[in-house]
Amino acid sequence: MANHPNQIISKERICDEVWGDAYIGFDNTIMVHIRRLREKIEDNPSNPKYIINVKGLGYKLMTKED
Amino acid sequence: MKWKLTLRFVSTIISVVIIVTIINIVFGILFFIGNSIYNQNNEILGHRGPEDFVRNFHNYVLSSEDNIYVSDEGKKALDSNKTWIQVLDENGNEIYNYKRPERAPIKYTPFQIVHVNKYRGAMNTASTIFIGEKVVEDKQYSYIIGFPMEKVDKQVLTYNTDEIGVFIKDISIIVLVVDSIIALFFGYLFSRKLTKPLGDIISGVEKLENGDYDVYYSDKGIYSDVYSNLNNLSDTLKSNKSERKKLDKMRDEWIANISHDIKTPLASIKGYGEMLSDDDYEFTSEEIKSYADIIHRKSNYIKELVDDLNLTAKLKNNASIINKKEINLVKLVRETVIDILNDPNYSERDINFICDEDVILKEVDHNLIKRVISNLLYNALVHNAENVKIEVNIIKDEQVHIFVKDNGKGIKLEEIKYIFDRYYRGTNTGKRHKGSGLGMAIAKEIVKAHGGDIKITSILGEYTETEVIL
Repeated sequence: MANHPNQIISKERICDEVWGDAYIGFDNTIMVHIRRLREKIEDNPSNPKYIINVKGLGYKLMTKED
Repeated sequence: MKWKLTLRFVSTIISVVIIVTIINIVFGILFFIGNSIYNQNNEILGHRGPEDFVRNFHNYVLSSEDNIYVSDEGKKALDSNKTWIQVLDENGNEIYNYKRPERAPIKYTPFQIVHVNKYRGAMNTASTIFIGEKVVEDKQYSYIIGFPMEKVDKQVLTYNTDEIGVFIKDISIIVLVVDSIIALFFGYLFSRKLTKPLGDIISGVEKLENGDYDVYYSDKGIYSDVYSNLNNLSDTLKSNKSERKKLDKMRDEWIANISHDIKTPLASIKGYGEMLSDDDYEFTSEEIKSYADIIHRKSNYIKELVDDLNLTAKLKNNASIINKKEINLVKLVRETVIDILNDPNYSERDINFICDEDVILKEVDHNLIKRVISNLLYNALVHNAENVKIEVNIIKDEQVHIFVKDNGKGIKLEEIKYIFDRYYRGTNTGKRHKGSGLGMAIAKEIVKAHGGDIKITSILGEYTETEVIL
């Protein structure tokens, strides 16, 4: 995600990139990992500013200052 | 239809044959009835003919010593048949008579006997004569019996045995000629009914061939199917003609638009190219980079335009460019939406993706379907204000429905009909919209090539919704 800032990345793509094509995982796996990343970089992990969930599509790493 | 007509023709031929046969039979019967009427006259003689009567009459001719006379029984038989008799000796002299007509001769020469026997009413007898023989003790007596002329008739038929063959030949030729004339007449009568409409049809087809499409026949009679088909054909040709005219006009407009669209970027490419190659000017590397960038973008635009044109031409001509594979449609649509949102120009736009399913597998061409979805999305983005809300929705029943709905300006009703036509471009396209004008046509052709359908509904000022059914 750091390589593609401000871009939406779908869960499928995250799966493919991280675990490879053959991986059949649960949504939960990605959610857990995102939660852990948020705990490390967000000021308030429950109200994220950097790693944003785009509903239905995927996740996005925000680097622009609003 | 084919069978019906064949049946008609066959039944016509059969009825002509039947009519000829019936006429032959009727004449045959008439001929025999005529004969039997003739025979009925003989009934006074019982069922035996006059010849038999006469031949057997010798039983009634009796002799006593030298006298010859007819028995009472014989006289009764003669009376009941209203006949008379003369008995002649060997020299032709009358030796006995019963009720002989007054004017009949009493002596016959051999010629006279033959003569009266042959021709009725000869020798003033006014009778039809038959002769018989009675032998008494080595003496031969001849007797003549006369029948009333109006009751019994006798015709002598004289013919040559060679000629009878010729006669039969002539009769059969006459019968054949008469039959063929009858067959010709009835055949003409029946076949005229069958062939007369054909002339109309042929002239109608000729008219159509010459481009006169005002052909109309009332669909009646045996060729009603042909007539109604001909009417349909002329209607179709008429509508095709007007369609073609409209299409020609649209294409002309489109060519004008497209050449304008190509000319504008070409002008700036040409301008920057000339400037860069001019030795009189000195450019900073930054300037050169920005000019090159412009040239790059403009030429890309032209390339896309030409690619679009190519694609529509290919899609129209054959579907072989479609490379179908089983793919996940949800993933494909989601990727398309993400790709657009990741484009810096559209990153702030509001596109909502809604789908209950994670995986919907379908045999489609990945690139082409992606093209369809992105065409629909770009249309919604480009032709509306920046704050437009777009909703992408996938629903699966027997087929897969992909909806792209926006809350933008909407499309006029009279323009919606043309939206999938090639060469058509809406009137509300401003300077910003420099598409090829082929987006929707391409989308439709791709979807059609996949065996699907594409629909659009819109209310002016409220929304536009396109639905792709795969």
